[in-house]
Amino acid sequence: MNVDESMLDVYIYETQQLLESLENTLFAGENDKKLNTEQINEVFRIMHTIKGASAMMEFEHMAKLAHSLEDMFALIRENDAGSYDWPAIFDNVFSAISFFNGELAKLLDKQTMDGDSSDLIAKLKLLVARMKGESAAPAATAKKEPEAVTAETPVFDHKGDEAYYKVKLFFEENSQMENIRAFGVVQAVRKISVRFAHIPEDLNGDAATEEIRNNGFLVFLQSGENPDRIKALLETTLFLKSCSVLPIDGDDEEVPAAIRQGRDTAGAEAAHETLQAKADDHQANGEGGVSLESVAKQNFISVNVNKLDNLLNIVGEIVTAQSMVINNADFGDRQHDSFDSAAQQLHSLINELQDIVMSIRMIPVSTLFQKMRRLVRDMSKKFGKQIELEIIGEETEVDKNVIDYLSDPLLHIIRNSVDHGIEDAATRTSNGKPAYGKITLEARMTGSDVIVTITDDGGGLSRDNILKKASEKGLLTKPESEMSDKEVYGLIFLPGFSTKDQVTEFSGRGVGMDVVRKNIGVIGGSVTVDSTPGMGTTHTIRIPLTLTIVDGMKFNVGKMNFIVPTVSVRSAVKPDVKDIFTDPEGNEMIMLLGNVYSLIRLSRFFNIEDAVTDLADGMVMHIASEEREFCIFFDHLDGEYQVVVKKLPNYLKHCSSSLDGVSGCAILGDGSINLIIDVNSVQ
Amino acid sequence: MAKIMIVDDAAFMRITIKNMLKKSVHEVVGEAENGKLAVERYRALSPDIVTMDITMPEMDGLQALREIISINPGANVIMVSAMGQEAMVREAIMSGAKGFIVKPFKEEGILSAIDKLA
Repeated sequence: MNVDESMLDVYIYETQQLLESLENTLFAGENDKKLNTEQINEVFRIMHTIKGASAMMEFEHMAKLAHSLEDMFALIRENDAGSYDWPAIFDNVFSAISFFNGELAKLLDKQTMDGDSSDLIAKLKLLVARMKGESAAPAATAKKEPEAVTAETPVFDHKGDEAYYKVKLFFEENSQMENIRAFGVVQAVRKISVRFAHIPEDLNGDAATEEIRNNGFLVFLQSGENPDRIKALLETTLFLKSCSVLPIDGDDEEVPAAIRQGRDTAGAEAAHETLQAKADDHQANGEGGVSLESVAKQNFISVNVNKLDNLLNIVGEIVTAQSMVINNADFGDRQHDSFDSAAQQLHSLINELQDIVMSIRMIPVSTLFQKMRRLVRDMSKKFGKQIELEIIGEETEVDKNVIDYLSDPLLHIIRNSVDHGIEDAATRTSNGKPAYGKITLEARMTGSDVIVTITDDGGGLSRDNILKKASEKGLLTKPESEMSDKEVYGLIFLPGFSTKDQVTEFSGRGVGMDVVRKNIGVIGGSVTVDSTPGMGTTHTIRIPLTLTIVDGMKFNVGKMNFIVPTVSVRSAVKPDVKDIFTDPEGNEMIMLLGNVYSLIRLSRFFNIEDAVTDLADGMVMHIASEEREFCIFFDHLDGEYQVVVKKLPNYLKHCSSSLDGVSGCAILGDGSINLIIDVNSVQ
Repeated sequence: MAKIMIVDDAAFMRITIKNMLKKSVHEVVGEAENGKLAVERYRALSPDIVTMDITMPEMDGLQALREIISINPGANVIMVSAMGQEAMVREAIMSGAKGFIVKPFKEEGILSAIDKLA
């Protein structure tokens, strides 16, 4: 099948949705240790849909696996009260979900889908075999075939002089389920025949299909209809390749004895009410339609995220263009009242537009949080720990981009909590804690931020171990005794820090907490950790609500323009030179409102040569981030601007290894390029 | 040219069939994602041919087929089935389905079926 891109998108999207609801169904069921009838039906239906779609896309391994699952649930569906090995069923379906998701991920990355589902299928086969063994007793396992009815009376008067015909049909290759197609032919023949017989006689099963494929479907019938009409009737059959109707002698050797004796072999087959009669009954119900309007109504549309990204970009450009117009130098200093009021109106409309565009991109964190449920489930099984995951505030909405960047950090932190944080049941009970460990995942909204906390009630971080490790790796910058607990815990975010040497399937794959900080940093957020030994650990992730349009303070150092997000700025002052001093190691410090902060000259940090060097000529900005407060020294403050954050172009990342201190850039209305300061990495 | 209605709970299948029919002379006049809507829309749109998935929520394809046949005994309904649904396809044929197609199918497959009924 030739696949166009949009169909692939729909396939991926829909399959992902199905897998997600499948997973939720399983979680709901796992609490009850079994699935109820409705849930079984749903799982069956989902598998059926995935099977069909995957087969259409020619993703064979996906289709086969879905087929096996469908078969298994068909079996369960027939006897849903039976006792099954539910834990094994859950495990297998969860593994299958992982397989499907893995393949879909490859598809998304445009890689080849090289996953092999044979092992999973083999496991399912075993499970099904066991099920059949166990549930052989209940009668319900028998397939519900249509009830057998004894021979029917022909619909028309039998004059006794009707001719005999031999009909031979072939179906098109690849039309599939030829036995059922033959069954359809039988239904048609029944309506025009006094009596008939067919070869193969038994239309159930693969043997019949095989025979019809190889030798065709043979029908002998006695009918008052003329051969042309018989042929015309049979030729309406779909996927018919050829059809021949030959008059034969009723006493011909070839004619099955059954119809020569006047007995209808098909009599044992399913009979049905004459459709015409049934239809007549209902003809009166034909009218009373539904209006087209009610049919067409739909409240949701799905939109490609790229389009939303483009929309957001354009809104960003509009914001920039707006300030280009409003602050245009051509206006000079003259009064222009009507322009100002028009500009004001434009400004508020653009703000509204921006709000709407942002809100379109907002999605609840529930999907992401549910993913964690799966992780905790799988890991606690693996490590033999009993852990409960509590989710609070999953309806909290964040930008689509945030979800993408939040996923890995959450995975990582929760892995750590399960693997290193929560103790095994024995240790827990001996410490007087409940055997069940608990991880709480919470999202909540503050005015300008979304805060995600991950709390476990495990053993907590060990100050001593962290310090030991950090000093081994040479990561300490001041004496151990001078470091606060928070500072010590903060060490785990440094690159190259990892407390567990052992690499497990889930955690410690060479990525440390530094990746967590980096990922969160990309979306302008911050992460901190707090811990009480013996009681547990809390990670707090703080993410700004809007990502791409921020309020910032603009300043310059030499000819370079910089912007620092206003949320991080505490104050900006002309320093009093006598408040600035140098500590014994040569670091400059400044005293502000009775507190001492380190003073970083941006000109030195960024190697800018034409900058102000005399402290009396420049300015100081007091900056506070989640984990530290410090001051920067710069030349001149320009004012506050709303800017659109752009990622640094990739070619910059190639030519310089150090882009520390810069998180992005912004182009202002006057065309100037401004670097956005990453307050966490300036030091 | 025939007016076609596509009934399937999976958007993917609906789009796939629609794309396959795009190059044909036929026109897709409606879609439905479950049996209940299929019956409603059949009444409203009176399509010439319906492609009907079997496994669907709300109302399955078999029931929808029966209701459509009761509205119009001559309705042209093609069941869209898959391996493993033999028993249900039998029932569909007895209930008046004009034929069936088995997933996965190719463009030629569905077109030949529809052309025959059109």
